[in-house]
Parts: sequence; C-alpha cells; structure tokens
Amino acid sequence: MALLTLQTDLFGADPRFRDALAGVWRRICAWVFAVTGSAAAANAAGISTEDLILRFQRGQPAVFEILYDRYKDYVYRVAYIVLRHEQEAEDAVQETFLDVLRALPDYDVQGPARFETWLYRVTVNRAKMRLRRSSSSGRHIASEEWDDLEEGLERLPSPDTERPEREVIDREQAQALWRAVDQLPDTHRLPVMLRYRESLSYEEIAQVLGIGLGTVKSRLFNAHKKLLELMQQERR
Amino acid sequence: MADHSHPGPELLAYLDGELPPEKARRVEAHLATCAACRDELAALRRMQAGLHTTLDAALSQARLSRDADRRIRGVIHEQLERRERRGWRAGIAWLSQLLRGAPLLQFSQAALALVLVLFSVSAYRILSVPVAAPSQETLVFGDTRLAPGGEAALRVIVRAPSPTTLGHAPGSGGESGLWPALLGAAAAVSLRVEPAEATWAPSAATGAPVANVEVTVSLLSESGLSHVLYTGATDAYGTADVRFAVPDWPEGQAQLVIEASSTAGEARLVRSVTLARSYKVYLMSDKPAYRPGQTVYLRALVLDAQTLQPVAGDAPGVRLSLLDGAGREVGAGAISLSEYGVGVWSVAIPEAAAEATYTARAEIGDTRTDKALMVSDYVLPPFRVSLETGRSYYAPGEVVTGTVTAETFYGVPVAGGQVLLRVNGIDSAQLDLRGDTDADGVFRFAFDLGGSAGALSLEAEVVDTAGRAAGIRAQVPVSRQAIRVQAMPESGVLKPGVENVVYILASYPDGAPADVALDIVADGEAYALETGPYGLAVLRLTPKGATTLDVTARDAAGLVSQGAVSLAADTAPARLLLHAERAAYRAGETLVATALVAGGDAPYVYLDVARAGQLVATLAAPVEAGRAIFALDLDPAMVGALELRAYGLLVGDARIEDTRLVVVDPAQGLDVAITPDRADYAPGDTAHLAFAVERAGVAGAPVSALVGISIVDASVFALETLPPSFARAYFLASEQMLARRDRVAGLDLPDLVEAAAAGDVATRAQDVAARAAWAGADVADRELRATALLAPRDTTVPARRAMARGLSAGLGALPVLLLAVVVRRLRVTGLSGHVVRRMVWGGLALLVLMPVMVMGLVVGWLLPMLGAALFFVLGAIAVALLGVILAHGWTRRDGRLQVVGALLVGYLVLAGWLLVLAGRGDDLGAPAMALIVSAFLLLVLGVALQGQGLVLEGRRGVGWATTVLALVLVLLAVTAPAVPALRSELAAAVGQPALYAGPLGWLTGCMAAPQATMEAPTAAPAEVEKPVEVEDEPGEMPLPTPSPLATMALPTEEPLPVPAEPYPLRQIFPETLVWDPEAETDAGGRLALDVPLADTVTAWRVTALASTLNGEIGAGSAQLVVKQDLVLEVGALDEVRAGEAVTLTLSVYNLQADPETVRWELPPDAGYATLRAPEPLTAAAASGASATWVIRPARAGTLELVIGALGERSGDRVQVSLDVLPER
Repeated sequence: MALLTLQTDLFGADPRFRDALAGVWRRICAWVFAVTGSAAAANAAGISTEDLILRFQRGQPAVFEILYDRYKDYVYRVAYIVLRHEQEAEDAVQETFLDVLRALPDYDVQGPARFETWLYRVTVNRAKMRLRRSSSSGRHIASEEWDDLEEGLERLPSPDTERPEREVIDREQAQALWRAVDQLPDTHRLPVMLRYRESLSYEEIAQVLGIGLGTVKSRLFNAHKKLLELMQQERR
Repeated sequence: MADHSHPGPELLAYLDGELPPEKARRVEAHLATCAACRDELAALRRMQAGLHTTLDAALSQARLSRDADRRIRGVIHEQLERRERRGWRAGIAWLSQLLRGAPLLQFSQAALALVLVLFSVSAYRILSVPVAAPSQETLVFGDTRLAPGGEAALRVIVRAPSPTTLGHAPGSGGESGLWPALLGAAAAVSLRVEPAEATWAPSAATGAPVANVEVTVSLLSESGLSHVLYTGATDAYGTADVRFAVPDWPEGQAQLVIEASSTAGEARLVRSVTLARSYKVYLMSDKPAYRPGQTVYLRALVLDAQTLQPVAGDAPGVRLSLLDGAGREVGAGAISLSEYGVGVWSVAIPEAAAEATYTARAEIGDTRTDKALMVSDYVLPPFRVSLETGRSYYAPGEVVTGTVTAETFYGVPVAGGQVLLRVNGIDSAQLDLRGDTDADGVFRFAFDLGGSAGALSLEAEVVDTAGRAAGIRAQVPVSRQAIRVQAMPESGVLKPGVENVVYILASYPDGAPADVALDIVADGEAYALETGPYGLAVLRLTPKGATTLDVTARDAAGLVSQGAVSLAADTAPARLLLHAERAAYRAGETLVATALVAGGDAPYVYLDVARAGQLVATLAAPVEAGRAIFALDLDPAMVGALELRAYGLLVGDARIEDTRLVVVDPAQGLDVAITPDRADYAPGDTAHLAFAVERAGVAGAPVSALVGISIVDASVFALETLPPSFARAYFLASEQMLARRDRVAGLDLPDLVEAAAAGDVATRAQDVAARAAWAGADVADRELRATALLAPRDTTVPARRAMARGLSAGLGALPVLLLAVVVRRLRVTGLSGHVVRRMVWGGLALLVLMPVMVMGLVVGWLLPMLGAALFFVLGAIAVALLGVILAHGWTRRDGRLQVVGALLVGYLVLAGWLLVLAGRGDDLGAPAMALIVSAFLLLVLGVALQGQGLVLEGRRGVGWATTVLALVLVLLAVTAPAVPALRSELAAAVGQPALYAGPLGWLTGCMAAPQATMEAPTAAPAEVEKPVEVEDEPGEMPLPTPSPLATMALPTEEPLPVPAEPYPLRQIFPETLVWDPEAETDAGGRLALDVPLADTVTAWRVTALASTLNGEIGAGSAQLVVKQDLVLEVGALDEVRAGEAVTLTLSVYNLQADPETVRWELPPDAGYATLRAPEPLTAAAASGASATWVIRPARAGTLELVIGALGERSGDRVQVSLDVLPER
C-alpha cells in the first residue's frame, strides 16, 4: 500500500493527472482482484463493502477474507469495549465472523441498515453473550490489559499551566475522564463508546444495542451528567 | 413563544446534531434565553471533546492480536471451505466461480481432477492393450570377426517360433496380466483395445518360414561411425540374402545390429563383433636344411586371407622369428612388406646350435605361420643313392627283388661302387648282401622273405671307386593282405534313407594306390567298380542304416583281397546329406550342391558358405522329393577354400546338417618359365637365366610380377618336402584341407588346384581323392549365433508418446499447483515467515541428514539387501501417511489440506503411470526429464512446507506426518530404480541420490560413486603409456643385415689370386648360390639373371615363386647342371689332428669317353709333412679313381691346400681347408 500511496503522490501536484492515474490504477487493481481475489487489490481498487458482499453472495467465498480484513479491528474493538478482556474479545471476534459468515448469504445489501451497524450489532450480541457467560462464572472484571489501555493516554500533552485553555483536554484530565468512563455502568458506557469512539449515530447506536432512540438519548445525557459529576469530584 | 422547559437530554442531542431541524430551532430559541442552559451546553461540549480525545487515545492500541487473527482466519477458512462442499448449491456456485475466473484453489482442484481423469483413462486404455504372444522368431548365424574391406554375409532366418522357444502355452492369450490385475478385470473388458496383429494362432508353432520381413543390418563402430550394411526383406524361405561389404574401418570392436521388422512385430539383436583382418603367410626359405653357423634367408609372402590380395606395406608389420628345437627364439625381426606383400629377413644359426628341427615363424595380426627347417651338421652326399624294390609291398614267403642305383648329382652313374645292402626284419635276423654297381651304377639284388610279416628295413651303402660313401634307407611293408580297401562315406557316416556317396580307396600295404577291380556286396546288392590308377572308386548306395560292405579286390597282377568294411550310420531320426559335385572349382563356374533330406519335416534347406572363417553367401532352397538343390555362382570373391554347411531347421531347436569343403581356383595362376642359356656349365661360369612369368593357360599373356629366386645346391634338396608349386594351393586351401591332404594316397593339392582349371578326365581322380580326403570334415560352427523373438509391434507407441508428453506436463504442473496452494495458505494464516524460518533450520538439518540417510541407509545398505522390496515398503508408508493427511483434511473439513492431499494423490498416480511408461522403454527426452525432476523437488518442498505450516498451526500430528511424507517421497524416488518394471532413464534421473544429497553430500564427496556410474564421459586418464623400446638386434649375436632388395649372389668374396693355370682353381663351394627374394620382372613379365656359378660341380636347383600385385601366384623350377671333364674331390677320412698322420682321399671322376691318366700337383710342404705322396692314376672313361695322400699337420689351425689333378686333356684344381685340431 505504501507503493500505491507513492504512486498517487507522484503526480500530486496536478490533480487532473492524479485523478486519471488513480482511476487507471483502480482499474488495474480491480482486474487483479478479479483474477487473484487479493485483499490488497480489492482495497486498492476501492471495492465497496456492498460490492464484496454481493460477490460473496454470488459464489466467491474468498472475498469474505477481504471483509474480515476490513472489519476485524472494528469488530475487535467493539467486542473489547463490551468485554474489557482481550482473550474474551478475540473469541467474540471469531464467533462474530462465523455468525456473519453464516448470515451473510441472507444479508440484504439493499436494506436500510448499514453493514457496519449490522456487524456491530452481531458483535455486541456475541460479546454480551460471552459477558453473561463469564459474569455467571464470576470472571467479569476488567482485565489488566484493559487497565493498561490508560497508558495510551500518556502521549497526550501534559497540563499547560500557562495556557490551560489551549488544549481541549490534558493528560491528567483524560486519565480522569477514562477512569470516569470506566466507572459508568455498561448500559451507559457502551453508548458513549459507540458514539464518541466509533462515531455511530443515535439511530445506529439504538440498532446496535437494540434499544429505543429515546433511550439512547437519555442514556447518553445521563452518562454525561454522571461524567461531569465524577469529573467535578475528581477536581475536588 | 419561548419554551421555558429546559431541554435536558435534547441539549446533548442538539450538540451531537441528532435533533430534527424543528427541535433544533426550539432548542436554539431556548438557549438564547436561558443562560443556565448555555453553561450546560458548554460543559457538554467540553465533555464531548474530552471524550473523543480520550477514547481515541486509549483505544487506539486495541487491535486484534496477530495470533488471534491467524487463528480466526483459519477457522473462517474451514468454514468457507465446508460451505463450498455443501450440496448441489455449492456445486453450482463452484461452477459459476469457474466461469468467472476461479481463484487458485478451485482452479487447481479442477485442473487436477481433469488431468487425473484424462490421464488415467488414456493410460489405462493404452497400457491395457494385451501384449500379444510373439508370432515370429529371428535366427541369426554369422561371424564375430569381420574383415574390414572384405565381403561377408549373415544368415538371417525368420520363422514362426516353436513352442519350446516361446515358453507360452498356445491360447494363453499372452496378456501381460499387470494391468488387469492392477485395475480390475471389469475395467479391462470394457476398455481393452485390440491390436491388429496380436492374434495368437496355435498353428504358428510350426517353425514355418516367414516371408516379407524387413531385415536391416548395420554396423556401429566404437568411435560412433554407423554404416547400414544391408536392407532387404526375407524371401519365401524366410531368409534374406544378407551379403555386404564390410566398411574399411580401423580394426577394433564394433556392434552389429540386426533388426527384423514385420507387421507382426520387430526384433533387434545387437552383437559385438571384431573388425580384424586375417592373413595368409607363405614362408619361403633358401633351402630346407642348414648347418650350424649358416644363415637362414626367409621370404614371407603375405596375402589378405579374405581377398587373397597382397598386404601392402602400411599394414601391421610382420614379425619374423626363428625358434630352436626347444621353442626358444634364436632371433626375431620386424619386416616391412613391399607392395607385392613380400618381406625378407635373415638370421644366422649359432655355431654351437644343436641338431634340431627349427621353426621359422611369421606373425602378422593374430595370424601365425610356421615353417620347419632342419638344422644339423650334415655332410652333403657325394652322389645320390636310390633304392627300388620290384614291388612296394610283399607278402610273407615272397622273394624281394630290387636295385640300388648310384649316380652323381650332375647325372653320371657311379660305376664299380661297392654296395652293402643290410636287410632287417626277416625273422628277426639281419641279412647282409654285398656286390658292385655295374657300368650304369646299378646293383641288383634278390632275397627270400621267409614267413615273416611286418616292416622290412633296407639300408644300402655305396662306396665308390674314390672311396666316398653315400647311403639310403627304405622301408618295405610285408603284409598278408595284398590290397587294402577303405571306405569313406561322404559325410563321415552313412545317412540312411538318401543316396550316399562312399569313396572306396584301394591301396597296397605301402599306401600306394592300387588299380583294382572291386566286387562289393552291400545289403544284398552287388556293385562292380574299377578304381583306376589312383585306387579310388565311387560307390553310390542308399543305406537303411549301418551297412557292412563285403569287398573283393583283384588287381592286374592277380592279387586278390577279400574283406568286410563296416560303415556307421547317423542314427538321428532326420538326416541331411550334402553332396557337392566336385572338390575343386574354377572361379566363374557354378557350384551345384544337392542336399538330400530323409526323415524330419524341414521344409527348406539353408546353405551357408564360409570362406576364410567368414560367411560369404547364404542360400536357401525348398525340399522337393527329399532333395534341395543349390547353385552358387563362384565369383572371384569366393576364391579359396569354401566351407559349405547345409542345414534344415526342425520344429524346436533341432537342426539337421552336413558340411563339405571345396576349393575354388582363381583361374588366374601364373606360370614361371626358367630358361638357362646352356644345357650345362663349367664351374665358375656365368649362367644367364631368363625368367618369364605368364598367366597360366593363357599363352602370350605376360604378367609383371615379383619373383623370389633361390638357387641352391641340389644335393641339399634331398630333404625338400613341398614342391614350390605348393604355394598356390597353400593360399587357396584351408588349414583343414592341408591337414587332410595326406589322408588319401595320391592326393596332391597343387595337382588338384590345377585339375580344377583343366577339368579333364585324367584329373578326375584328383577330384575324387580330394572329396574323399575332405569327407566328413568338421566345419566350425559360426561363432555369432543369436535368436530373438519378434516383439509384437507396439501399436500404442504414438499414443504412449503423446501420453508421456501429457504426463510430463502434468507432473510438471501439479507440484507448482501444490506449492502455490501451500504457500497461499501459509500467507493467509500469516505463518509463512515462521515456516520459512523453520524450513531454513529444518533444511539445514536435512542437508546433514539426507546424505547419510539416502546414501548410507538406503543405497549403501538397505537397497542392496532389500532391493525392490524396500520400494514397496516405503510405498506403503507413503500411502499410510497420505491416508492420515486425507483423513485429517476430511474430518477437520480443512479444504486446503484436502486439496494438498488430492494433489499429492494425483501426482503419485500420474508419476506411477509415467514410470511404468518409461519402464516400457519410452524415451522422454532431456527437457521433459529436467522438468519432471525439478517439479518433483518442488513437490517435496511443498509437502514439507505444508507439514511445517500445520505444525505451526498447532496440528502437530498431521503436520509431522506430512513432513515425514516429504522425506518418504525422496526415499521412494531413490529406490524406484530398484524395481525392474520401473527401471528407466527417468527413474534413474529422479532417483539419482546426488539430487538429494545437498551441498554437504556434494562437498563430502559421498555422492562420487553414483555420479561416476551415471556420468559416462570422464576426463581422459592421466596415465600415459610409455612406449616400450625394442632392441632391433640381439646383442650377443651379430647378424648380417642384408639390404632387403639387394641381390645376394654368391660367391661374395674375391677369389684368391692364383697364377694363371690351364685349369682354374675351384675353391668356393656354397650351398646357396643365389637368394634374390625380390626380383621384379619388367612389364612383359621377363627377368634376366646372370648367375656367376660357384666352383661346385653339381646340379643347382633354381626355384622361382612369382606373385603379382593382384595376389596371383605361380612357381617354376629348373636345374643348372655344372660339370667338367675331370672332377677332383678331396676328402679327409679321419679327423685331422696336429702331429698325427691323416689320410686324404683324392678322388678323380673322368667324365670323358676316353680314359685319362692323372698326375698330382701338390702344394709345397708348409705347415705339414708329407708322409706318403699319392700315386699317379688312370681313370677309366666315365668312371672314378682315387689315390691317398698321407700327411701330418704340424700345428692346429686351418690348413689351406690347393691340389691339382692334371690329365692329358683335362684337369681340375681345388682348394680345400682342413680344420686341424690341437695335439692330443
């Protein structure tokens, strides 16, 4: 892919050239994809998810791998958010994709729901199933790996005493916020995550979590209230 | 109107842009009025921004781990592939995929299935063609030695095979059985392809000849030269007239390839033959007997045995040597040959040589010719004594009469000689008869034999008036049976059922032919025959079995003998008798031979004609009314001795046969006429000899020739064995004929050869004699004998070739597919890096292990021990491992593993087919083999990768099974050549252990041995042959080295200066006067030779052996008589010793018509003292007289005495040398 980027950047100065070249390149990649079924070619050719699904449904099971490649990290993140346990999340990913594989032939591409929404719902369902199973076995505690995620916040800038208003949020605040989010109950935490990490719409969140739109609104609002509260407690 | 209720959750939705426009406007209106809500909105906005940043940062690290990704991918794969195999929907989907350009996996599966089905069907169709029983066999008789540049022939017979040679029961169908057994009888029935000519007819086992079989004979030299000698087809007698000219290649080894090809099949026979010339060498010496210290002069005439042409100088050198009686080499030398094929050499016999029969030997190539030479300290007889009895044999009780005759060599009777005849053998007593010779030199005697029988020994000694003695011995047989009768059937034994020729030989007890009338009774039938002067008669009878001839012989003198002769018979159920009309033929004539067949069922008789050990013609004739008649045109190439072998082939391997020898005269002999210019000569004269060489029988046809001339004292020739004219017969006759020439009295080979030319009635006797002599001669079997069954023509060859090509392509493609599938799987599961790392280490380990395993374990130890069994054991292991892989792939629904397993199965099946094809002798060609070998290596790599990939995926069991399978595949390949059915170039190439040895094996050199056997051309060995230096001359014996072309005329020394006297001094008495081995005539065949005669008074025998550039040979002889009116001869009666008296005999021969009175002219006393001087004497006319002179030599040494005998009209002076021994 680095090569592809390089190619397109070469004529970056002239947009007309760049577009023409990108077009030709996409056609080549599409052709390569048709012959080899290569995931890289499919992505480079800009083959849409819907197109891939159609190909799958028309009898090219190999394109499923491309779908997998495209969504495995999203699916994983969602499952991780729900389960807060790496191993569990991985298993959930596997189950999710097997579910998808099973259900994909019947998936309606022309239907109203985005594929991603549908995918997240399957993921969340799988994850919740695992969550129920593991909590019944008393294992539902956020794992150490999950706690370690906080380290990711280290790269945020440290508080700037001179110009505190310059940054939206500094490292300490972020850490506090992360801990606050973590303290939210699952029912509130998930909408927050889906909304502010995965940028799903309220409608999509409702579909993914299988709740009403109003519920989404109220839960998000309540979550904010709670977070503000927690943050104020933190400041004190 | 403003809304006073706070928006609450709506505020967040507004911030997120999730409110419908109407609600959003309402919230905006409220916000404009409500400061609290504005504060809240700001707080929410800050919170939102904080959440975005925080969550992004925290969860950016959350990604699916690599391991999990790999695992999930694998699971998805399994699922995907399982889905593909589900029901007809999957099938349709698979088909539609194919149409759209299927991915690699599916494509490989489809290709594999297609390839497998196509090849298996076609391979089965082709290979299941039943192998027909051979319906023809080819018999070849010929020689393993061929003369380059010569004519040769080969007997090729194609006939229906006999049941014994076939080894199949008729009607067995002759199927190979392999394919039906392998693939099931049902399939065999449905797929069998019947070849056109594969029908087996039980009637084919009759041994009947097969016509129209194409026969090709070609010769391949070691240096790669190839020459087609003959192409043709068999005739109605199943034989092809394979005559050919052998190419003029350098001598050495070559391959004779005989190919027979018909609609029924083809046979190919390859036999090693030697290209080598053979020679005939005729050795001529100046004389037959030598005294120690004399020089032997040898002349070798070398002709090519095949062509009877002179062997030119560039041929391999001739080595001449002289061996003493014990076989030790006295001297040896290499001679070069002139364009006439003549080389000369001389060697001195040592002074101290013992009396023995020496052997002069000529060696050229592997031909060796010996000539016996007598070496003894002989004394030349002063005159010739002959003894004749009235009859050559006697019966007991008879009276023996006879004469003893004495005559000088120059033809003067020795009159008045005292004769002592000593007879031994009469009743064990000795009888002495004494008397004198009369004026004619004759002494007559008669004595009674008494009752004794056996050999009578007569010894006559004559002492002439001069006191010199000469003697003779003779044997006379005494036998009660006056006439001996022998019978010799034509074939050695009687052949019952056909007319046999039986030669009847009648002879007297001394072996002389008896001219008798014969009355013979055989099987109750009476025959009356006359033998004629040669004592030979021909009896024709048709015997029923062994026969006894009751013979009564009666000669003109009234002698009668009676007796019975038993003749054995050939007891075989079938007999063949070959009858040749004559024993000798001229070139250009037609030889007619009749084969008489009795019993047996041979439909044809074949006649092989061999000459000089080489088959030159092959004839065949049908048997009609019990006889087959052959006519052979005797062209000039057939000159010489011919061996005729007639044979008939019976069912099975049995043969009936008979052989004959005949000689073919080239019709171009030479006559050598020698004409002296005078009737007789005086000592010291120069004789002018004219030699004229002409074609025999053609007057005025002079020929330019090389003549070997020797002029030798005739007295030496008392020991001559062969006449010079024998040389010609020598070259024409075979050794066998020469060995048998004494078998029949009266057979004279030169005469026989001439008889062939003359063909008149007088010489018929020679012909009969020769036929009788050669009757029943054993003829050596032809060395090259081979039989091959015509392999049925393989009608499937083009199909097999096409299939082999297809299989090669398949075997090249499948491993690539397999590797692609494996690599793709590894890439998808993200294991490729691990596998490659593993493979690198594993490969290194294998590099160390493989040479040890493959070489040490398999090749070095197990393979020789188990052989093909090892291959099958490994095969079973491979099948088991494959089963594990397939089972695993099936139960785990692992599509890729299934594909790998299927590809492997497919590969092994195709490889099996191809190995079987290659094992049947189909040549694949180097590119195809290279493709297959490299593809096989790819396959092994692919399987190993797959195995390690599986291990990394955690499926350890099947992973290691797959890895081991890769190893077993290598071992299978290495052991495949041990299976006979799979043995082929391809198997050898794939199974070459060096391929798998890796760099370590190559470096350690443990592959050196198999590589050496595989790679034929190697560098030339560094060994340099050191030329052996041969000493030209033996150091201890200074030999005269005469210039080969120089005429050596004796005397060679200047005569001693003597005062002019009326009678010249005679002092030179050589035995060999002239030895000119290479005298060349002019174009008119003429040669003049001036011969200064020596001082001997004797007759000189002139022998001339002429040969031309064409190998024509002729000989002539003449006598030169040297005499004078008065001849003085001096002899010492006792040994001469210093200080002792010695008596010298001075004999005078007066050849004049009047008496002569002789006085002596003696040298002055110097070195000796005269004790008694000789008295003058008178010699009567034509008579001799002698006086004695007693002297006492003073000292040891050589005493030279010049003595003169002076008469009134004539005189003689001689110089003698006395060797005086030291005093006692």
